[in-house]
Amino acid sequence: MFKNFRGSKKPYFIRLSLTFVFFIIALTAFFSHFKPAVYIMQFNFAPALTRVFVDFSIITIAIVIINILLAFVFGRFYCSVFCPFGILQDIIGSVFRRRSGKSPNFYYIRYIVLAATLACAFIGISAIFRYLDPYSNFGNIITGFVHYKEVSLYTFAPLIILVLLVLWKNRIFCTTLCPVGTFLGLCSKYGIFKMYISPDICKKCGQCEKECPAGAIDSEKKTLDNERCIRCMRCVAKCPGHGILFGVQNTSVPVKFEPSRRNFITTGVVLAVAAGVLAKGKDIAKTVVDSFKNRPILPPGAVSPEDFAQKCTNCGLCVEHCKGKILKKPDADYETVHIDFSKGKCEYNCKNCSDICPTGAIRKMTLDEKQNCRIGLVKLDRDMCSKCGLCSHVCPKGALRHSAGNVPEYLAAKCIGCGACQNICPAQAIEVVSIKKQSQI
Amino acid sequence: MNRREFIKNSLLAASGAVLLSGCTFRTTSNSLSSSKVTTTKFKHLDISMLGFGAMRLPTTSNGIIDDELNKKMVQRAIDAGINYFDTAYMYMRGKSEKAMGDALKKYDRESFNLTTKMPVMLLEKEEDVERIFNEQLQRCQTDYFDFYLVHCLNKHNWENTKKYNVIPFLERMKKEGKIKHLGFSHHDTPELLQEIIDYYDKWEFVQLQINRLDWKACRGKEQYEIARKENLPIIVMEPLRGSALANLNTSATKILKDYNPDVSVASWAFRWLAGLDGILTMLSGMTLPEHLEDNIKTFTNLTPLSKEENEVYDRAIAAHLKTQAIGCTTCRYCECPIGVDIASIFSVYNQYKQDTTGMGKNGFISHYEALKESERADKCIKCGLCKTKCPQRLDIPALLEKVDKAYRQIKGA
Repeated sequence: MFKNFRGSKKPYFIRLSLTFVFFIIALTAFFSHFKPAVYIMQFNFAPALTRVFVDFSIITIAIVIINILLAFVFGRFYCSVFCPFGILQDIIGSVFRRRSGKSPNFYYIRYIVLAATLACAFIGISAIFRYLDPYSNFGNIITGFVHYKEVSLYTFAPLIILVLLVLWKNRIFCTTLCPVGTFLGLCSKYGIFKMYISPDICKKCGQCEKECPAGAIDSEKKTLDNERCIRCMRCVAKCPGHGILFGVQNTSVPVKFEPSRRNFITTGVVLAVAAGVLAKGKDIAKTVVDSFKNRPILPPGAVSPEDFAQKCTNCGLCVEHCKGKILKKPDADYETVHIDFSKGKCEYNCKNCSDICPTGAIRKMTLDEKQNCRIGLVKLDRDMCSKCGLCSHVCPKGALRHSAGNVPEYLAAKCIGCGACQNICPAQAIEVVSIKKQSQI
Repeated sequence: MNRREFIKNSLLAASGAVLLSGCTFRTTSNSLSSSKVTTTKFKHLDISMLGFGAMRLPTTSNGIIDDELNKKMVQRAIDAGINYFDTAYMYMRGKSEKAMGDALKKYDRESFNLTTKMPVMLLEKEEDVERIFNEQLQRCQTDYFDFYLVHCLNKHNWENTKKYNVIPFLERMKKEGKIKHLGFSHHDTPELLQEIIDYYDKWEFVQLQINRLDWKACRGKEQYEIARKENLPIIVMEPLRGSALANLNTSATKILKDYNPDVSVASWAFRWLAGLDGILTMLSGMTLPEHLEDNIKTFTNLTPLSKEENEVYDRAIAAHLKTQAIGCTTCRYCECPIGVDIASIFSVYNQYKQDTTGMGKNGFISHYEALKESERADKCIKCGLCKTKCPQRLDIPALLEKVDKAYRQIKGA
C-alpha cells in the first residue's frame, strides 16, 4: 500500500505556486501603487460583470467572456488560483488544519443566490454583491485590518462568518453562497475538460473525499462533481493510484438528468426570486440609501449617493490608492465609502480612484473632467473667518477671492468642493458640505 | 318567501339595476360629447385654448409620477378636446417627457400637438444639442414635435443658445420635418425679448409668462405688447402663477365668491387672460383630476371677463397683493445642490402669509416641519447658485433666511 502512496504531486505544486503568485499580486494591488497589479485585479469576474452594466466597454466584456471560456474549457481554476477570497479561505483552512469530507450539495441555495445577484447586476445594483462577491469581501476584510481603528465593527462580520464556514465545511462558501463560483461552476459542469475518477484504478479508499475542500467527491459512487470542483488538485496529489484524471471525460459515465418535482420547484423559486429582485430591487436600494443618517461626500465620479450605493461593492481598493488619504471605509456615520476632509484634500491632479475602481462605481474620467467635477460646496462661516485669505491662495479653481481685511468672496459657480480651503483654514471657518448630485461645472 | 318569489324578485332587481346603470351611462356620455373646449386658429391648425402642461403631473405619495392617473387625465383631456400637450426635458426632474410619451402613444399622432423644449441651460458642448434632441424623440416615443421651444431664455441661457449654435440645429431639424413649429420661452426683460426676436426672423410663436399678478410686477404687459407688435402668437405659461392665482388669500377669495359663488377662483384668472388678443393657448399644469375638470368647465365656451367682472377681479387682486409674500411659481428650476426644497419652503410660507389654509401659525409650523430636516431653509449655505437659475429672479438665499427667521420666531414664541 505504501509504495503507491506517493501520487503525482506535480499538478498540486504548480497550482500552489500560481496561487501564491496571484495572492501576492492581490496584496500588491491593495497595498502599493504598482499599477499593473491593479490592472490584473480588474480580471476579477464579479466587478467586471457589474461594470459591463454600469459603464460598458470592450475590455470589461472581454474579461467576462475570457473568464467564462476558461471555466468552460478547463473548469473553475479561477476559484483555486486567482480568487483572493478563495485563497484566503485556503489559508484559514490550513491554519486550522481543516479537512472537510463529505458536504451536502446545497444546489437550490446557490441557484437562488445566483439568480438574485444576476438580476441585481442587470439592473445595476451591487447591493448583494457587497456581501457575496468574493473579491469585494476580500478587499473589505484586508483593508479593514489596515484601518481597523476607523471602521465600524461589522466590517469584520464577513471575516467571522467566513472563519466559521471554513471551520464547518472548508470551502462551503464557494460551493453554496458564492455567485461567481456558482456561475463558473455551471460553465464547468457542461464544459470540455473535466476531472474524473477512473473507475478501473479507484479502490474506494476515500482519501480524496477527505481531502476535497469543496465536498465534490463521492468515493463510494466514484463520482466527482465538476460543478463544485474548484480544481485545487489536492485529490490528484493524494490519490495513491493516480486514479484521478483530468481530460475529456469518458462518456461511459452517463450524466444523470432526472427532472423531478423538486427540480421543478427549485426552478420556480429561483425564477421568482430573480423576478422579485428585478421588480423591487431599485426600491430596496433606495430604502437602504434613505436609511443612511448622513449624506456623504463622495469621490469624483460617484455621481450621487443613490448611484454609488447601488454600484460600490465596498472592496476598499480606492481607499488604499487615494493620494490625499481622504477616502474612508464605511464607518458608523456613513455606510459607504466616503470622503473625510478633516485631514486632507482631494488632490487636484490625482484621479487614482476613478482609474482603479473595478466595478465602475467611480466612473472613468479624464483629468479635465475630474478637475471640473463638483463633489461638494463650501459653507463659509463669516463670523469665524479671520480674513487671512489663505483659502484664496490654495483654491485651484479661483472660487475664493480675497481682498485685504475682508471676508473672502465665494464664487460657488467655480467651486468643485475639493476641500483645499477647508484644509488650510486656520480658523475652521470653512466646511465642505455634500451635494445631492455631482455635476460638471 | 318561496323559491319562485325569490327568483322573480332577483330578476326584477337585476333588470332595475341594468336600466339604472344604462341611464347614468347615457347622461355621462351626453355631457362628454357636449363639452369641448374652445379652440383658436394657428396656421392650418385648431389649437385648444387650454394646453395640457406637464410640469406638475400627478405624483404618488413617494414623489414618483403616477402614470395610471396621468393616463386617465390625458384620456379625459383628449375627450374634452384638448389637443396641445406641453412637456420639457427638465420637467418632473427629467421624467415628464417619458410619462407623456407613454400616455400619448396610444392616440393617433395627427390628433394632438406635442411640444417640448431644448434645455439650453444644461448645454456644456455643441454635441449636447443633438444628443438631447434625439433623447427627447426617444423619451416621447415620436418622430417629430409639433411645437418646439428654446427653453427658458434669459441672459445666460441666450448666451448658451448662441454659443452652441442651437438655432441652426433646430432649423435643420425643421427642414427634416422633426420640428413643425419653432419658438422660444422667455423669462427676462422686455429688452432681451426684443433682442431675441430681432436676432432670428423665423420664430413662429413665443411663450410668455402672463397673468394678472405679473402684468405690472414683472413687466408682463410690456412683453405682451412686444409680442403683439411683432405679430407673434403667444402661448401663456404660468397663467395661475404657480397656483397663486388659484389660491388667493381669504379676503380676495371672499370678494370673488360673493360675486359668483359657482365658479372657481382659478377660472377668473383664465377668463382675464381670455380678454387679451393674440393668445394661442394657456398652459395649465393640472396635478389633480379636479383641476382638470374645473379647467374644462372654464374653457368650454370660454368667455372673457365682463367690464363689471374685471372691476371685481381688480379689487380681489388688490386685496391679495396686500399679503403678497414670495413670488415663487414653484417651477423648481432652482434645483438646490445641497437639497434645500426651496419651492416647497416658499409655498408653505406663502400659504401661511396669505392664510389660504386658514390654519395660521400652527399650520405653518406643522407644514414646515413636515419637510425633511435636511431640506429646510436653515441648511442653505448661501452659495447663490439658485439665484442665477430663478426665472423670477428672486434673491432665494435672503428669502430662505427670512422664512427660517419667521419659523424660529414662531417656534420660540
